[in-house]
Amino acid sequence: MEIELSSLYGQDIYTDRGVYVGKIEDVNVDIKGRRIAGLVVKNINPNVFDVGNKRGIIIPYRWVLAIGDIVLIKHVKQRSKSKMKGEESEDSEEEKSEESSDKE
Amino acid sequence: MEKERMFALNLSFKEVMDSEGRELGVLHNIVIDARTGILTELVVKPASDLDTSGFKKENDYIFLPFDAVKSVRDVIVLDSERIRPRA
Repeated sequence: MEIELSSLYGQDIYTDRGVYVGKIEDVNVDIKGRRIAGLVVKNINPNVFDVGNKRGIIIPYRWVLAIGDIVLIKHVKQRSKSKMKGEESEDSEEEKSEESSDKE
Repeated sequence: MEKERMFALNLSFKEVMDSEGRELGVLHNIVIDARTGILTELVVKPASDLDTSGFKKENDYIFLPFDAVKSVRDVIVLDSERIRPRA
């Protein structure tokens, strides 16, 4: 299906599990590769991506499953600071144990 | 070095020229294949003195193949060999 790029602006993005991700603000294009590189997304659902102080994120276009009245992307587990430290639920416990071992 | 990735909002209203320096118009939109994300055509508001006969046209805009794009900096330059209207 061929569409005009500007019709993407303002479209809502959901994952294939029905979770709201955010709104398309701009599109990152790869001129040499002649393809869309990513979607610039604002109004991020904080439960999906922890963007901290940043205003938005760029979602790689390979995550896009379908574009229609809304945009569907693959469901992704949060790839953010908390993920890097370990599982979210264990975060606080780990930090506490590190602190206590430092004191000893 | 030319930047390979650009934000589409920065591209709109850029001037479009061919490699012979002929002014074609101003970029209005880009047509994409939604499934693959491939950029297929430039939608250009033609310059007032451009002879638009021979170009693919729709509602006062001309459509130019994206693979004719040679470079994008302050203006968008298209390879004139690849956009020559059919005689």
